[in-house]
Amino acid sequence: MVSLSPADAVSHADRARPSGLSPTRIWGVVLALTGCLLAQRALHGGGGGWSTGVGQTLVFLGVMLGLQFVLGWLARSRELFRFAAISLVFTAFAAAFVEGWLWSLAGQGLAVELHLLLILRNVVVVLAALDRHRQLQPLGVAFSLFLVLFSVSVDQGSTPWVWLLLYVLAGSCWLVAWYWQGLTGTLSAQTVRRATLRWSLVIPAALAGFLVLAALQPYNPRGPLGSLFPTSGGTGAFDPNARQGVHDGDMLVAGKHDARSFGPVDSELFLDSDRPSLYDIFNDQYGEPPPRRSADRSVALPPSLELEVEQRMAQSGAAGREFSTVREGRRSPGELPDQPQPALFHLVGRTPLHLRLEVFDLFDGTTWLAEPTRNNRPPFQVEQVSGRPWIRIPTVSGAGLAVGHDLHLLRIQRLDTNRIPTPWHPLGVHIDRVDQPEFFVWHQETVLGMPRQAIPDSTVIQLQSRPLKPARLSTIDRISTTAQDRYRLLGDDADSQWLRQTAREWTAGLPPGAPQIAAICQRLKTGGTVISGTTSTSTPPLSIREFLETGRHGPDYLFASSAALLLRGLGYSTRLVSGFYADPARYDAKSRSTPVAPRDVHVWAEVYVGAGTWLELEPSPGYDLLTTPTTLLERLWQGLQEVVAWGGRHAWALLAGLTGLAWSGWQRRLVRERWSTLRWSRFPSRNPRPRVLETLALVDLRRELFGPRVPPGATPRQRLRSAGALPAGHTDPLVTFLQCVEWAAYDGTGPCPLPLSEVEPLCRQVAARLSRRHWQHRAVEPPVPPQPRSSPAPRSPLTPISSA
Amino acid sequence: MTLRLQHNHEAPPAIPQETIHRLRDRLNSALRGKAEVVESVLICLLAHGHLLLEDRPGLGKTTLAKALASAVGGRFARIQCTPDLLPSDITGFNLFNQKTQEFEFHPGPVFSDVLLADEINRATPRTQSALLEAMAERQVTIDGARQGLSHEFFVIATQNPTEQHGTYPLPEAQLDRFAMKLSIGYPARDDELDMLADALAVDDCQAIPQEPVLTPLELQRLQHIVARQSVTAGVREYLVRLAEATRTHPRISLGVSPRGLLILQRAAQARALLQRRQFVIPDDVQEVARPVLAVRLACDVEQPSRLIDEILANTPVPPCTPPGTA
Repeated sequence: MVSLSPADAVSHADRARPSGLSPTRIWGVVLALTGCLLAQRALHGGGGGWSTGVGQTLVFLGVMLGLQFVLGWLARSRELFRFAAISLVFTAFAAAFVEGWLWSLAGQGLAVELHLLLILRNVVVVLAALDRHRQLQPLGVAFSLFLVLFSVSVDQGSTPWVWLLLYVLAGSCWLVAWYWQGLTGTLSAQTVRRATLRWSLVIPAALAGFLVLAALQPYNPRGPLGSLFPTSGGTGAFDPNARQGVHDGDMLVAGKHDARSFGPVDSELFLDSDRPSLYDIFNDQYGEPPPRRSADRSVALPPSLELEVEQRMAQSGAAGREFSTVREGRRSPGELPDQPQPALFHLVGRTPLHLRLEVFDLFDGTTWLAEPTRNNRPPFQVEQVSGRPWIRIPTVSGAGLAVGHDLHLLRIQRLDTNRIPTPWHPLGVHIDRVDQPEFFVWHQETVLGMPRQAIPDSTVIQLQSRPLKPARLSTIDRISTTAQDRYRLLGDDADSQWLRQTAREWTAGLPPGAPQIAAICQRLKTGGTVISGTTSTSTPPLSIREFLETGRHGPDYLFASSAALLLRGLGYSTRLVSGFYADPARYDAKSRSTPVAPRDVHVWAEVYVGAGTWLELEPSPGYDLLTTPTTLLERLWQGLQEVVAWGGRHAWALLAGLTGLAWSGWQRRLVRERWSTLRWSRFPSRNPRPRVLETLALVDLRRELFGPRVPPGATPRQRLRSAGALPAGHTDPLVTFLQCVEWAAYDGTGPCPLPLSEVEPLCRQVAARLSRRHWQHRAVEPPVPPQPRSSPAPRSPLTPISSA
Repeated sequence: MTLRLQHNHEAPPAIPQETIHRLRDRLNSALRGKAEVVESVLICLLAHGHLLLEDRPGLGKTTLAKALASAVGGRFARIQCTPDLLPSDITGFNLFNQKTQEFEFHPGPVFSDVLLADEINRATPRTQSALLEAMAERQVTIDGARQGLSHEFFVIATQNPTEQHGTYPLPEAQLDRFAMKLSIGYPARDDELDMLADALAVDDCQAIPQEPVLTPLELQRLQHIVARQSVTAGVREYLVRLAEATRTHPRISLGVSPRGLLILQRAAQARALLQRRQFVIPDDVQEVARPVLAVRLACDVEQPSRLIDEILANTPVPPCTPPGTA
């Protein structure tokens, strides 16, 4: 008769795997690699991508083969179907969420269709690596066929068609090999049937989890899906994460690079055009300043500046080029804050962006006077870039703070001025067909303008500038001053002395330079709130001192003036700048631009940091400066620093959590056994059949975790026998339990061999007897020799009570 | 208080364990120390199958067959197969009676309850084939007329695995008619000592014929009880899995046929009856699988038992869930 010896058993997992490299597997891998290669070309834009070179292709193929080898090596000792399912789910989840976080953190990534292509490519790699499972092979080939068809449809040139031909040939070979393998026949994987129900629940659950997590993550994939696939903008909907058209579709729609493209001129970006009306937007937003009295200057001027100031005050007053920090509250609320305002101009490019219109240097205690109009900087140069004239602006060094390039487009809509809203550190300006430098002038030292009455409406101005690199701020380590005293002018009156004292208090203990500047700005930024002119009709504070002493609640010009004057109190050269603030919150995805309306007027400060460079300061809460785009590495580093800092703040909780996790991982078998035992004891079934089988499952779990291994074909009797020789007595609990197990599992009609009241005590007795310690003890003992063949019934200890 | 589960089946018939016990004792006394072989013979008998004994001469094959025939109480016949044995020597023939001027049928040895075909592989294939109809359908056709055999017709065939010269190996079709193939093997040393001691006091010429322990009618009733043993869906699926495994194993060229699968299930039922159970468990299937599969698997190895063990070890048993929920 049959005697099952565990030692003779062959691994069940090996039985489900055709051993050796069959032609089917070889051709399947070829098909998968071809599909992955073409998908890689599509992901990198086709003909111009890095993967077109032979060397890079070989490197990619090598990486794919290496991945397959690693995955195959990892799966060598695992149950293949389960490992494949876990790998596929993990691959899809990982690709999905890495991409989502790339969008949220780095602001860049793949369009949704390419993202799906990336996920499918990774799935094909996993399936090809696990092709020892016969049922996974056709799935991998089917997915690779989809990869090839999709990639060929979106790729350009003739190379994909060559790969398609190779794929067809390899596919034919695979079909032939698959047919012959089917004729030969291999041992099928019977375990798949057993896992069908479980995995039929797991896969929908995984999909549901995917959707839930996708809805929770910052990047919302529904946006591009709502548009026309593949997001050419055909439906009119737009998502910033979309691919923006096939090939050059984005440029076609936008018409940014070539006027002969679909969008005929640059202004095609801005389809809404209202006729502008000119008015004093600053006074409208901040309120009118009170009538100026003849002798209200509160700053004692030094003799060197007295004459200049007197002259400029007279000129500024006449021209309206002054900015009073004392204003009356607005008499009417104006436009409601939640209602859209007609844009003065539209901006395309990165935001937030400060665009300057006027720079003020002198402060007489209540009013800032504008810088004199000078045009003593080097002349502009004309440079042809891609056939277009660019006016090169002579630049200063930037003190090393400005790095990189930024391109912004302005479309003037109703800004009736000849000044060009100028970003910090401009490098060049371009207006279509304007190729003479005489068309541009310096309105002030850092404000561009045009020598005409006003810039025509609908003019599109392209501005190139350098953004600020925050990491370089640490190089400012001293108090730099300009040659002009007017930038440091601060009176000797009581308020000015108070400002000096306050500045010293706020920067006590800090070295000069960036730390002091940052401390002033940070103090202002964190302690107060900006009261927009459109939301308040209350009267602003009468003086800077009053503003600082009463909690720093007021318009942004008071924050800027406070920063400038406090820094002057420390000896820095500062100035006030008025202009516009392009708020990223106002970005309009439909027009792909940021409208700048009268409510976006803004005042900020600048400090001189040497080398002819003025550094923008933003002391107003809720406003930010445009900085260089952070690379992924920098963001990762920042994230790591934040994690470390968070860990430092919660060191004990983190240590306890990590210790618990490490212990749980180390003792995962114990944790699993304890959890199962707790569930078994706390939630018992009332019916004796499932209760007996639950107990058997618990004993099996303990044996699997701590005891000797048994082949998958071992019956309950053989599995219990691995706990030791079954005693011969009819009254032994283990023998009785085995009778109950066989009854519960295989006797559909017979009565329970035990009285119902004795089932639960018996189960508890067996569970206590075949405990974890019992199996651990059995695991270190020498293996049990093969059991003798079955004996006749009279010798068997298992005599059912029901038939006795 | 015992749990009574609801079921619509009629009450199972009582198992005559005493009869089975006496039959087992009779065979064990005839073949000492071979309780496992006796158990398999009983399974084969109760499963209504035929038995092929493959072993060396003098190990008790004929003794076992004769003991079985005497215990069952039916007619016993023996054929010593040789190359010149004709099919009519087995099935019988019509002889013309000149006195009555009519053909008279002279039945052959197949018209018995227990037939011992000794050294069956020495008969020619034509003669071997004469047994096909008898074993499969329990009838023979002679000169166009069908003759029914006993319902309890049971064939025990023997063959010698060592002397292959001048033999005709049984074809697969013939092998598939047998339910099991068993090897008796040499007895243990103590059993041989007992056997010698018993032989000192017995005179072969004065051997007293023993009374049968059960009648053919009682055997038929036992076979009816076996057929009604419960087999759950999970165990049936396990049987099919085993059959699929034999058919798809790369080293097995001919797996189990559906007829073999039916015999495997019936043998498992018989084993459950011998174990005093009214339902089949996977242990029953595994116990009977080796002798049942050994007779009908065609493979490229000398000893298919290791392949059978491999299949049994790697084919998962049905999950332990309540019947009807698997």
